[in-house]
Amino acid sequence: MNTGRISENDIRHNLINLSQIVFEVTDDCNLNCYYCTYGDLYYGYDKREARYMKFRDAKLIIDYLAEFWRNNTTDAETPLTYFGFYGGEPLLNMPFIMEVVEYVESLHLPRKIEYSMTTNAILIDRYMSFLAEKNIHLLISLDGDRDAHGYRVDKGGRNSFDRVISNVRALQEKYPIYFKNNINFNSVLHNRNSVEGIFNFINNEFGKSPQISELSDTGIKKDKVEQFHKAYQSKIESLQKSENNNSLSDKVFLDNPSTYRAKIYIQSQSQNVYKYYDDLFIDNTTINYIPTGTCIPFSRKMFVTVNGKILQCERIRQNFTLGIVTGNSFELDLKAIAENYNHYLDKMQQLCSICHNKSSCLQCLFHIDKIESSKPICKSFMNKQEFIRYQYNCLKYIKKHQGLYRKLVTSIMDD
Amino acid sequence: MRTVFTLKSDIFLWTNDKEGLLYNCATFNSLKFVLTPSIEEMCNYLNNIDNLYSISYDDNEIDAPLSKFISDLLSQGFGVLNNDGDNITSFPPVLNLQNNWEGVIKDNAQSTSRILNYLSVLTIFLGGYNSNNDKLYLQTEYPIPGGDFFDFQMLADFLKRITSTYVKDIRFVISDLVNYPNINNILSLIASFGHKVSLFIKYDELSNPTVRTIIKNSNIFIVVLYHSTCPRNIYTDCEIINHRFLLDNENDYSIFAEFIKEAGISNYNFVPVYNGNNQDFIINNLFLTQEELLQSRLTKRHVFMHQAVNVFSFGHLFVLPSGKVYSDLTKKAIGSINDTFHSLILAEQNANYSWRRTRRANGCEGCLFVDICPSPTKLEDIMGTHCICTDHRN
Repeated sequence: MNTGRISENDIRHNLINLSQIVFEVTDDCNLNCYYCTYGDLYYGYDKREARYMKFRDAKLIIDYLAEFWRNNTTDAETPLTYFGFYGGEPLLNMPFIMEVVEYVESLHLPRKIEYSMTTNAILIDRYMSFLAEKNIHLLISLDGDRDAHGYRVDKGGRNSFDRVISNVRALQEKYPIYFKNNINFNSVLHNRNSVEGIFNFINNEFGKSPQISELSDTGIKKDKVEQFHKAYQSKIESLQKSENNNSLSDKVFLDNPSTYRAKIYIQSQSQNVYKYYDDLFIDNTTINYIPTGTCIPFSRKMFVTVNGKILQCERIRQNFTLGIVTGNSFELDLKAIAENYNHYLDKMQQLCSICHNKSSCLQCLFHIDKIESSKPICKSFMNKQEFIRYQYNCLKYIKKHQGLYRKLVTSIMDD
Repeated sequence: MRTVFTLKSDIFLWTNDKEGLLYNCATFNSLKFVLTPSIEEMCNYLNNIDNLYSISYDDNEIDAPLSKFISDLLSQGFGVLNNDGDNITSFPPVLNLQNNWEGVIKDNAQSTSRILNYLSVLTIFLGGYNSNNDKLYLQTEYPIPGGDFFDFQMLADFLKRITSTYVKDIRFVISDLVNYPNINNILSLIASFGHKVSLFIKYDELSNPTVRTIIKNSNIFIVVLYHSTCPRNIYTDCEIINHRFLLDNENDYSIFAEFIKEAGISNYNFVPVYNGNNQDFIINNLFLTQEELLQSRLTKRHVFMHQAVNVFSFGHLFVLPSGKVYSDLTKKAIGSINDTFHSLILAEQNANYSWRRTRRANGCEGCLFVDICPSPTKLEDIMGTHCICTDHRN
């Protein structure tokens, strides 16, 4: 029963069914990307001190979870859990990764385990046999061709493109099946590239469709705002500049922010979208609403920073820590997590109750300005006029793109 | 002058080769109409979801039947007129089930969490000697014929696995309770599930004070089953949550109604049952006319339910004393109590004996009322019919 708040049991349930645990294996990096969220433009993260996660810390968490998983009934007969490695550049701490993989395999956990990693590919040539042997899913950061990749520079300020492309091609050549099944690309959109350019380059080179993300607009230092805006380019802006906008929009269909907005609108307003069969039996009007669009802790993942802080996601500022692992101690107080989460929810109740877009809200609590103060400021709040304008724009967009509604109501709408 | 007509998002529009039906799931109004060529053309256009329930036409170019039809739709609130430039947009009601079964299979069902949540009701037939040889148990909770008992250890092992919260309702059906081996242990095991549990027992057995004492000591809620009997007493010494009166005919109804009134019973229900010879009674009391179907006040969600699942059987599994598990007792077993709940659910979803058996898949495709009509029931299977619409049958 949804009560407008969360309970310790909700969190326990999420841990039992945890689908992803991600270790920030190091905060060190062999590149010095201009727009890195741990770089000069942003605040709100622990100071980068070239630290490397120790296996003993990861082991404490893995053992805790293993006990949870062995002693509780999961929702699925064979649940799938990803162990993810994140950085900095995770390949800089390859001994840790190898130890974790070996240890997890030795536990014979009662679930299916897969591994994943986000990497800049600079060191792939050294470790490709291990990566391929363990079928590790790689998300390679590549912003397009040499010019487009120009913000991804090494410590000496040199473009890393040649090294990256050569490594990726070598991986493809040596392990073609692994490459086909397990390699994907992530590209950051900025003022030196475009959606069309990124898409065409990666598609032509590797036959893959990249994930394209915009520069993060949360946690920008006040004195870096101008610099940020100079480098920033939105997907809509980029698509509008594209010569081949329509066919490109079609290819990056759900990645197009306008389509995404339309999708969310239909999902929340049309009363046509249901997630599971049993949701059809639930009258949503009788369910209490949990403010904001924040995930319940561990419903999607557990993120462990190199300093041992446990967060619900890598995109959340590190002052919203849920637990900590250091040396020989591991703290994760589920009751306190629920209470703390509810404390933030309570702050939003009043504002959310008068928000006209509350049923479509995607706003994460932990990205709300001044959430720690008594008067948080929510950028996603909509009064009646704002909601009418939003509704008008969504409807206009859907109407303008014939066939879009069909695509949306016959497609999978999950993120 | 060009005009744009838009059907509202709450309207379902169904057609067959002769007629059409509009159903407003917000106001519950409906309109059944005959298809002329021009009306049929308009309905086909509106039913193409790419057109977002809107059609543009020239007032001077439409024929009289279509003009009258549009006028009727407007006056009865099914649609609106707007100028070509207006931003009136309607979303035709199309169910988008994100995790439909086809998708779950594609996504590797073994790893798909959440489907365990589908299991909500378990009916466990504990067995015990039952003098009646009828097959009422196929239609409703009622003791099965024969004298088998559920092995205690087997039952205990099985129940231990119902540790999660997804099973909300566990129904145990028993007969010959006084002679049931290990009965106190069984009842104590059952009682550990608290309010989720109910024990179904025939009224005749309750006349035995020993049975009532055993039940009273167990603190289990019971459902008393009345069939082909003339009850005289109401037993207040057990925790009775429901009195279920199974009806073969109108006379049963009269007898039971009088008993209910005299005994002052408020927690009861009537369940008409088919006994092989009372078809008229069932048709008169359970089958529906088209008019009655249209009065069922279904919301959009209800219509979608009728399209996607069997409202009566979704989430329900049955266990026999042999340990075999069924989603439909008239079909093959989908597994045994040694299987995991996950694999039992997968087996039912793959076979689709019951949970997703809709009226559409039951031979009613093409009927205008197919999505309004209640889901197929066991009663129809046992009677050998697949249609409960009296107008259609006539």
